[in-house]
Amino acid sequence: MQRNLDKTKPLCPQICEHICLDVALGELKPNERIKSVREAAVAVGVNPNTMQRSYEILEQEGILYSVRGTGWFVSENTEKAKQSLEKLKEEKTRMFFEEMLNLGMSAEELREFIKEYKYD
Amino acid sequence: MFGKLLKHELRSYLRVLLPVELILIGIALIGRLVQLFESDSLIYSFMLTSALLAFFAAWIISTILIAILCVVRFYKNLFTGEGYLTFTLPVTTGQHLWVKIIGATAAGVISMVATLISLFIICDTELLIEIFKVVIYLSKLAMDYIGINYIFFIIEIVISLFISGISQNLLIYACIAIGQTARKHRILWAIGVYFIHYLITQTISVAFQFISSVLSITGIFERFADFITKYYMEFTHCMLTFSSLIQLAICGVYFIITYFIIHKKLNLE
Amino acid sequence: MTEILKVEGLVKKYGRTEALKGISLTLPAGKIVGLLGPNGSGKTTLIKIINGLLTPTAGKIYIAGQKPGAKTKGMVAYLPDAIYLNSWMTVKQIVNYFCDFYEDFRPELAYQMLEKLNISPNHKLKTLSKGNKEKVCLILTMSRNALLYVLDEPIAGVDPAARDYVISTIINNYNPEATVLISTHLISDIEQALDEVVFIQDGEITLHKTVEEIREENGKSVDGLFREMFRW
Repeated sequence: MQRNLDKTKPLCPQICEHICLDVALGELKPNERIKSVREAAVAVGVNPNTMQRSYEILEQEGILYSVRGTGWFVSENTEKAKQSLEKLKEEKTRMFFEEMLNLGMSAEELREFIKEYKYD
Repeated sequence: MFGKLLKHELRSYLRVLLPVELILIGIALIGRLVQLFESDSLIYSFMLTSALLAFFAAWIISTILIAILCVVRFYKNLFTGEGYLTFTLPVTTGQHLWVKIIGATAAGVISMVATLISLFIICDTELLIEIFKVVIYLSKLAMDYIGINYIFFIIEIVISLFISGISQNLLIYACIAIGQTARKHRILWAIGVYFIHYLITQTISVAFQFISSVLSITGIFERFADFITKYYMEFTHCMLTFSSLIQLAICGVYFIITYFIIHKKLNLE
Repeated sequence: MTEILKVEGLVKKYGRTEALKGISLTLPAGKIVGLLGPNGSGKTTLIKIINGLLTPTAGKIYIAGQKPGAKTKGMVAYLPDAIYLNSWMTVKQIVNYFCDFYEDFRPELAYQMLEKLNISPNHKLKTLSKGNKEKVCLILTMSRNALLYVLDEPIAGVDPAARDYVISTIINNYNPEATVLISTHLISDIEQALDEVVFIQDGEITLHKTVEEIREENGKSVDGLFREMFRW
């Protein structure tokens, strides 16, 4: 979870996104116990209250669940996280295209670029 | 909390006091050892003289050292970086000040006791006891002659000396505290305040002498002469007690000044 | 929420200069708060008043409802910006010193943190490196179970690795019942760890917000906003 956060944007959604990704990509397995709020806050170097809020948001979204006195776990159903991942992929791709178009790339050039790009 | 504060204060004093006094006693022991080889030889008299000189030097140095220690401890513990810790302990200002006074007084008493012990060691004990006996006998004779209860008198003198020692100590504390209210050169200010205090007290005492010498010309004291000779004992007791009380009052003033500055005007650098 | 610190119309004058011009501030429990401002803005003056090292000229200040004094000193853990420890003492002696005076001091926690840094309790303070000395000071402060932690410039003049240590120690010792007030002018290093920030300038509070609010409303990092407001 050691990722750089963009300090010009609220940290909470970014942390949620990172955890979401880890779940969707299978780095965090269903029913796996994840770091406590304190441990995670120390690891990422963020405020414990921010970390707590992120976990709570993810719990509401059904991506995490908490067991009183035991800690936080990844939900059995990772569908929700995968949906989020799909949404994110779409968002980032759209953003990329928009940016390129803004930089004056034509649709033709973009198509060419996609075809020529070395995918490995 | 007071007890803990005092414990740490005494510990910090003993850290320096103990080795210093042990060295003093050690030098006294050497001086005593030399005396075991008593003879008419030149070497012996040389050895004895140098041992006595060394003892004397050690005594002077240790006394000065302890006086400096008392001042430095007060200054360093309260007004340098250490003050950040000292003044954030859950302790009241009054407790801090009392601990400082008791600590310095204890250091003075300990050094006095150590001096006495070392004197007993280096001097011929029997001779010393004889000297004491003579002194006590003579003072008793003198007191009996004037009619003063000499034990009472000695107690009064000891108390008065004790109070004036504390007052000297508190004077320096007050000067350091006043110096701390300056923005820069705080130690220099403290020394300056001490000098100003010295000048003022000197001026007052000169003024008193002047007034009393003027008054003596008018012959006003002669009217009291009979009274004083008649009640000499009461008069002396009264004077001693009175001076002790004045000293005590002065102590109080120094204490209040120091307390006020620490409590309200503290500004650590 | 309980108010840990409450300041009302606080004024501090040094002669003619006004270091604090009537500031008001309330800090609740469970927050890590940054006190940000350039040098000479009044940060240290405020911190000294909180710790009872200065007497305010006017205004009121309460720590957990009490005026600064011997009692509040037992509830506030203070890390000054100066080297304040007796250098002839060993680490162990200093731990014992803290143990003696602060009822909330947790020696086992202190030793545990010291051990992680390989600092032996038998070391004399003066033999430690500057960096380790500063870490010992931080450990002593954070080993207290205080209500209010006041850290004055804890990351100024320390190398980046030590900065990370300071920040993770603060986060690791987070207690929802206590508040941590950190003064600094190095914001970018510490802003991720903060809940709220208080900007102080020329003896006045110019901003008091949560960091997420700042990011959301301004689209800037706290550091970015600070640089803009103070025009360094």
